[in-house]
Amino acid sequence: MRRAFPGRRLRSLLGALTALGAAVAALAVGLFPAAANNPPSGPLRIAQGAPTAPGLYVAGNQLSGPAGTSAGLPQQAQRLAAPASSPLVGGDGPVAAPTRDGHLVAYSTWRWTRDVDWTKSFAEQGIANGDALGTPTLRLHDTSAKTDTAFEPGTFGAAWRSDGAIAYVRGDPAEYRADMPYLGNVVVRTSPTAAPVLWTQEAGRYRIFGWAGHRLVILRGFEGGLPDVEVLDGPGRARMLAAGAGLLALSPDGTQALVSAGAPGDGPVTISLRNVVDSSEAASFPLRAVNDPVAGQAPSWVEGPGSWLGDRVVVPISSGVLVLRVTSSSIAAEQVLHVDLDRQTTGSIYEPRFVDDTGRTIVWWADLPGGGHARSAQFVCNRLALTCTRTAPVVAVRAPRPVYDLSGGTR
Amino acid sequence: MSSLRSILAAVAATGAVVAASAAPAGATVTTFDFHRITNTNSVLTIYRQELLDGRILNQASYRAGSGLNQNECDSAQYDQVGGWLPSGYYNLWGHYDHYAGTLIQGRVWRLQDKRCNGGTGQIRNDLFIHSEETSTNQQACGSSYIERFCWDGDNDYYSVGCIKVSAISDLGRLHANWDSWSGLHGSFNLSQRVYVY
Repeated sequence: MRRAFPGRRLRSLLGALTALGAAVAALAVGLFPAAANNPPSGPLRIAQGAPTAPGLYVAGNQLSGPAGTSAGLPQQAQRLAAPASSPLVGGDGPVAAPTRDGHLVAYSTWRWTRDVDWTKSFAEQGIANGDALGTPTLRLHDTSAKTDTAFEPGTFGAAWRSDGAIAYVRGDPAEYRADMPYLGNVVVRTSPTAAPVLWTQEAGRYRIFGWAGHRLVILRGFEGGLPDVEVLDGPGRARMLAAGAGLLALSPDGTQALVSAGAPGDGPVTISLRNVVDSSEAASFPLRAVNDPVAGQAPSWVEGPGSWLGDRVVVPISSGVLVLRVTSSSIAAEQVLHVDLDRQTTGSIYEPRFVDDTGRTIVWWADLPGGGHARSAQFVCNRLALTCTRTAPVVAVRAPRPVYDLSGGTR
Repeated sequence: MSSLRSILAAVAATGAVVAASAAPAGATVTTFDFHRITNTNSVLTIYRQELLDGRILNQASYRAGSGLNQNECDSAQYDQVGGWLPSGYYNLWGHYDHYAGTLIQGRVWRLQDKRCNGGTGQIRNDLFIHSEETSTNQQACGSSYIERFCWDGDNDYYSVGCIKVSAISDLGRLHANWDSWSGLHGSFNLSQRVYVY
């Protein structure tokens, strides 16, 4: 029988993780081991095993961590009231995000209001335009009290401000409906129990990325178009950060955002560093300047979300994982960790995260190739040794996903 | 292809398609198959089929592309990088000659949303069959060059998840076939008109 992990221990872990996050800004180059100053690029050697890594993870309805400290890891897990799932966000953002004091974890859930066979078309199943198919609901798990409460229906995609305010999207209507875009507003509560305040004035295709200090960085999608990266300086105060761009990461101090522009077939890909305060560009870097020594050519695409630790950012690319060195006024490629994505994954890597304060260990996950039921696995990699250990495959719905918040800075 | 034919026959037999119940003898249906092979070199086939028995009356195939990678769960909504579109049957939601999105313009077919089969369970949306042309069906390749509206190479087969065909060699023929075999324009909701595998 599964035993609940004592809340105090998990809370301590979350606190430690929070402390790690808070210390990120102070993690200058000097804290990285000497070898990290000149890390090699090359192919990652991947072996299957039972890796352990620092961090907090969610798999289905199980919240667990830290790994590596106890042989009885499953006994340390806490059960969530519902499986973490966010089909409106997918791998583009965290499915669960902790508060900075480590006390609470906000996680996205989903309830289907009718069965859908996604191999078939809607009409074949009697699904008409506008039929409600499912409802997202953000839930709040208290790791100490082990309580679990739901926000209002239609909510997903949380990000925590340093003072405990929480931002999320609230659908209007709450249900995801066939043949209709899922429109919603950005909502902020100054605390989980405070009244929600609309920060957008008209429902749109909004997605939360994270807080940049007291400002909120969001994406706004458009049918048949590229998303815009916008900044909300407060309720109803939206402005453009980068038009027609993708969002990769926010700096730990919340002052800058790393965005991407262009894609194969749509012009050259450029990584751009934007100052959140005024949307000005601090630096740019062409992806074609990256040299993958294995592929013998530059990667064709870069995607998010990345992980930003000190002055390093790790992001997925078309040939594996790229580590960038980013200062307040410069971007440079430091290391290409080559992965044969077609052989090791179904085609891309999800949510790479620095998980220790040295920046040595990177954890990511992926869906695995092969027919039949979809399977996923976690990869724990030592980027200095160019080695990874892959967990045993699990059914995709129980993919181990990191619990993190993309926000930076303090209010 | 054979699966689509059998499905259509089954659909016709069960009367699942509303139109089928009132279909006169000789009524036809226009469908698409998209065979995923690589991101830039897959095959899109358009069929004109006998509604009642699925018999293929006409067909034409074109080189087509989809996605920037082969992960059908990789959505482009945050980062402009998406995998090819998920497998399965799709409704067609509409066909427009002069669609005017900021990324997608011109002659397009709109597909239903589709949830992927993978760990994120992502619901992929904004799925189209399209090319690179302006909303007036022109190529923006001259002095007013706009890459996304100018078909100028095989890299243009890449997409963020949609199906793309060449504006130079194939879009006109594909559209002409659609116009002569179906002719429907605007918004509609047609069951099982696209099969992706």
